Amino acid sequence: MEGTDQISKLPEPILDHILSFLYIKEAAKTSTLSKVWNSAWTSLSCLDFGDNYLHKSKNIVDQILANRLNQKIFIKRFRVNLPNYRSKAVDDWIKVLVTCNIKELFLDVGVYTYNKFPEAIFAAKSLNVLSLRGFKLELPSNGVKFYSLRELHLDDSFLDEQLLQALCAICRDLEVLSFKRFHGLISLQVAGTLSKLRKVKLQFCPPKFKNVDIVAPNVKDLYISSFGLDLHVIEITACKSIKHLKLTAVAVSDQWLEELLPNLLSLEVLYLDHCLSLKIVKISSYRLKLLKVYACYNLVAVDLDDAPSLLRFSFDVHHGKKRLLGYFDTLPIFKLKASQLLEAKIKLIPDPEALDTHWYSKLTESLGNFNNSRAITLSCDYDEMIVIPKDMRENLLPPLYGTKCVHIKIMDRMNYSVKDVVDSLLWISPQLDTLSVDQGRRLNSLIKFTYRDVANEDEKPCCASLPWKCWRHELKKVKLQNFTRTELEKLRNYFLTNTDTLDIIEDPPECSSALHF
Amino acid sequence: MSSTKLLTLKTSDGEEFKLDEAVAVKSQAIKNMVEDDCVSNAIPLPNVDSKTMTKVIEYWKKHSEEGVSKDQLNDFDKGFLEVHHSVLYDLLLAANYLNDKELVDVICQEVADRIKGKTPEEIRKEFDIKNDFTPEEEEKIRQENAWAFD
Repeated sequence: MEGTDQISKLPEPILDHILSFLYIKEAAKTSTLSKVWNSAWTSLSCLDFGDNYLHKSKNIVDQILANRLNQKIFIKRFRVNLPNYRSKAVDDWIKVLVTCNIKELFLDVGVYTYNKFPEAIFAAKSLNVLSLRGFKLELPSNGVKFYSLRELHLDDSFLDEQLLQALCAICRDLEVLSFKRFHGLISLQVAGTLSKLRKVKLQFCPPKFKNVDIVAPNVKDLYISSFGLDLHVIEITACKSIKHLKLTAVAVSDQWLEELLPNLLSLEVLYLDHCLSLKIVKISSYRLKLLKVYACYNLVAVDLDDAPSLLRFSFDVHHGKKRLLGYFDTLPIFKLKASQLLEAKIKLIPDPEALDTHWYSKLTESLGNFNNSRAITLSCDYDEMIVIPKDMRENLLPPLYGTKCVHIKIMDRMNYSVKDVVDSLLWISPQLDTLSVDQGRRLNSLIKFTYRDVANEDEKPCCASLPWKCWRHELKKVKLQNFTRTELEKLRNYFLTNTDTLDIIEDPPECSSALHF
Repeated sequence: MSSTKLLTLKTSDGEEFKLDEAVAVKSQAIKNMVEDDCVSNAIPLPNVDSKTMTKVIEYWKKHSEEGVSKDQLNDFDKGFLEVHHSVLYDLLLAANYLNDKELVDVICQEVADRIKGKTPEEIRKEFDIKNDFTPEEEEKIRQENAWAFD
C-alpha cells in the first residue's frame, strides 16, 4: 500500500542491516526520522566511519562506543581511518571493542608508525576479521586468544616469526592471510596446521624476505610479489588445491616451475610477471585455462604443448631499447598445439624509435605462432606499430591466414587513419569474419565480413601464389558499425576500390559527441 | 537430460511453484529442509505470497544461469531493483524468511543507496516515513548528533 510507513515496520535486525550499508555519518542522520529510526541508530552494530576522519572526531567515536557499551550491544564491525595516530585513543577503543565482542576490526593509521597495537586485541574471542595498516604486532604476554580469527590483513605493518607461528598454531580457523609492504618477517612458513587456509597474499615483500614455505592443502589463491627480486625459495608443492597462482618479480627458475606444475592438479590461472630468472617456460598442466606471461624479459622459449585446456594466453612482445635493461633483439619461441579454442592476447611494446624492418618481421613471426586460434587481441600504443609497410608485405607471408576474429586496441592513434589499420590487419589475417577496433570510444568499432559461397570447384584461385581465396575476390558483404562519418567514407571507398561487387551495410554513424566521452 | 530434482513450493495464497532443487537451495531455509529430508510433498511457505515468490524465483533463475557475465548480472540486478520501495519490503521480508543472504544484502544495499546523500526530510518523503517526534524531541536528537549534519 502506498503512503503507509512500511519501512519503519520492518523487523529491527533488518533495519540494523540496512543501516550497516551506510557510513556512520549517513546512518546518524536517520536518527531524526522517527522514534523507530532513532532506536535503530543508537543500537547500530556496524560502525563504519569510512575514509573520512576529522581531527575532532575522537570524541564522537568515544561517545558512540560508550553508548554501545552501556547498552551491552555487540559490535559487528568497526572501521576507522586515523591519519594522526593517537595511541591513547586506540587503546581506549580496543578495550571497549573487545568487551563488545567485536567481530570485524579495520584500523588504518597510514604508513608504518612503529606503534605497538594494543595487546588487548588478542583476547577478542569473537574476532573474525582483523585488518590493520601501520601498526606493530607483537606476541602478547598473555598469549594469542582470538581463536575465531578467520582473516588477517596487514598493510604497512610489522609482525615477526614468533607471532606468525603462534597464529598458525592457535588460530585454526584462519582462511585468509594477506600481508602487504610488511616488516619483520624474513620468511613465511605455514606448516600444515591451517586446514581452512584458502587464500595467501604476500605483496611487496621487503628486500630481506627470502623464503616462502607453505604446507596448506586447501589453499586456492596464492599471490606473491616481491620488491627486491631477492625472493628465491618458494616451496608450495604441498598446496595441491591451488587454483590461482600469481608470481610477480620472484626469482624462480625454469626447473622450479617445471617441477611445480604437475603437482598443482587444480591450477586454472597462472600469472608470471617480471620473473627475470625464467628463460624456458614449459607448462604441463591439465586444467590450466588462463596463462599470462608479462615482462619476463629473459624469456627465450614458451612451450604450451602440454596445456590441453588452455583458453587464453596473454603475453607481451618487446623490441628495441628498454631503459636499464638493454636491447631486445630476439623473440621467444612459442610451441603450442594450434588450438581452435585459444584466444591469444598480445601486447606490443616496441621502442617507438625502433619501428624498423626488424620489428615488423618480428611482429609477423610472433603472430604466426597463433594462427588458427579462435581469436587474437592485440594492443599497442601507436597505430604505427601495427601498420606493416606495404613493401615489406611483399616478402612476408600473412601470419594469421587461418584466424577468423581479431580485436585491436590502440591507445593513441598517431600517423594513420583507421582505414590504414584495417588494411594492415586484413593483410595480416586475410580471411577474417570479424574485426573489432577499440579506439577509446564508448563502443568498439566493428566490421563483419561475409564471403561468397564456394560454388564452383573449378574456379581458379584468384591470387595464384596464395593457398587461399583472397578477400578481395571472395568478399560478398561488409557490415560497418560504430565508425564516424569520415571513417565510414574512407572505409567505403577502400572496400569498393579493392573488391568487385560488394554489399556494404553501414550502421548510421553516431554523431561524434556520442562516440567520445 | 540431467537428473535434477524438482521441488514444489507452496505460497501463502495456495499457489504452487515447481523449481529445480539446485536453484531452490539458494534459500538456506529450503536447503536445510532438503538436507533433513522433509521435502517429499510441497514445501509450505506461509510467509511468502505468490507475487513475491515469482520475483524471487526470477532472481534465483537469473543468478543460476550459465554463461552470464558479471556486467549482465549487474544490469539485471539494477533493473530488478528499480521498483517502488513497497515492493522491496515484500522482497526483503521474503528473502529474510527464506534465508537467502545474498538477496537480502542486495536489497538492503539498494535501500541504503536510496538513503545516501539525502536530508532527513528527503528520506521521509522517499519512504513515506511518519515523523512521530515533537519539534522539541527532534531538535534534541539533532543536537546530540550535530556532527552528522555539518
